[in-house]
Amino acid sequence: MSILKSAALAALSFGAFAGIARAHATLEQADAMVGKTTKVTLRVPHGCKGEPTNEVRIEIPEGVYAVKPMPKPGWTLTTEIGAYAAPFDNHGHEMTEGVRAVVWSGGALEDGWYDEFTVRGTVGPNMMAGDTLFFPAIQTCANGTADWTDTSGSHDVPNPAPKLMLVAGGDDGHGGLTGHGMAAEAVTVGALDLTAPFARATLPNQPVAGGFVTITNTGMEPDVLVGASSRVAGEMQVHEMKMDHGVMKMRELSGGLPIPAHETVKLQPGGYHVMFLQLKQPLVVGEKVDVTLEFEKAGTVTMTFPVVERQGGHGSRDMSKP
Amino acid sequence: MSTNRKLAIVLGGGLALLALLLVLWSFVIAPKLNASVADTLGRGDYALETTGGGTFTQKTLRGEPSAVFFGFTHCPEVCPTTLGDVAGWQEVLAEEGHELRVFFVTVDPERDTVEMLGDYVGWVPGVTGVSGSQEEIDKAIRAFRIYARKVPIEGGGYTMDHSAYVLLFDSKGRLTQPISYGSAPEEALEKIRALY
Repeated sequence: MSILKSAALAALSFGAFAGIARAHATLEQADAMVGKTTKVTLRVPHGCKGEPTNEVRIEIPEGVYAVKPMPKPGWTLTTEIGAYAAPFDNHGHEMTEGVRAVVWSGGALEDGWYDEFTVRGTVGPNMMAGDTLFFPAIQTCANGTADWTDTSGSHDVPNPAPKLMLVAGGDDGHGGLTGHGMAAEAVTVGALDLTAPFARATLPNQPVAGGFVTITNTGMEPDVLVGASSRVAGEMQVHEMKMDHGVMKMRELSGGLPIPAHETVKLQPGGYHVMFLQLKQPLVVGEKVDVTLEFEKAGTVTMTFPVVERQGGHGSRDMSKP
Repeated sequence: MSTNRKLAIVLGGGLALLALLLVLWSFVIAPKLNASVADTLGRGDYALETTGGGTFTQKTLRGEPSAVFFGFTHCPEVCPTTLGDVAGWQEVLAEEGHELRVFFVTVDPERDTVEMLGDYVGWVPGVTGVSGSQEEIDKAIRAFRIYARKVPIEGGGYTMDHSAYVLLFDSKGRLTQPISYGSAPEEALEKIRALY
């Protein structure tokens, strides 16, 4: 038996899928909305093996259009222009090419310092919520590089590419949701802004489903999501899902989900969700379900959750195909 | 015999014994220890029913490569996502002339009958649903060293914590390796291709 297999089996037997505790270059943004303009901020935590970073390069993935980089004092800014795999309709104007990589050069960021490098761009309206976008980045120093270019999506590689997950877009008449021509609802209740709701389509005989939404507390007081209800479900509960050494664990948050003051809490695949139990009908892609959310302080609010494709929360399936 | 000579014999004998033990360990014991997981995982006297109308026993895994996943229909995310991943793998494998046999074994036989599982997995090529009595499912859970635990939720219902990896078996029914949840498609496909 090869060493690799033995290692895999050992990991399986002992449940020790341990992570690597080293600071990687990552994005500040965990996700971006389909069809929306978003900021993408690369965080550079250290240099290359102790050396200062002189150049930072970030690649723009397919599906991110009309990218504009943010200049930084002390750094020379250059962009690489290339063709898009699919053209982009920029307010009625078809774009077939644009910025595919951004380079900040001629700077000196010490190993012990931290800095951020930002671009702004638009996620194409035909991109899929749930997919992952990778922004491979390379730091160049005097005698080497630090590469953040592994786009396998694995957590166990030493050089994962910075990434963000796509979520369904909100409703400001600016492009729709995953190409289905639907607009998701965004609502405000009390000090809470609720955006980007969605639910995943169900399989035949699947009596449960997860609902997801982003909640921002703009107020001074903490609040708590205490419950939810919908006419399509016999019952709804607030749950937390966790992967623990390869074991999926789900817990009901009986005390509710705290929404601290001035913070944003995301209900998203692989984490918090409102769970539809005893579904009375299947959730079908393209349909919408109304969900009433109940908060301790802000009260109740009803919003429309579009039903999106069922697919991997880690999915890069579509992007990996030639 | 001089004391020195006696000492040399004892020392030499001790060294020879050590060497023998080392050889035994490296060539006999260690391989057995290592092999045991691959050889014994999935072995047991469970007898379950499949959505295809057949039975699922330890013999089922022999003959051609297969994948085994434990899940349940009251599963909001991991199980549908895994089935979606399997559908994606099968698409690529079909182009290469393969269809992987996949067994979706319920950890919740109380609610998941074979009839219910039929429609639940039926849309993915190559996937067979597996259920049976609680006793037989428990035997299979032990045989595959799966973690599965009932967790009560408000209102009298329950959900299940369960291992969320896909286990791959070669045509001899030996475990090769697991695919962990959320693996990138290429990573998973590489592991599957190694079976053929």
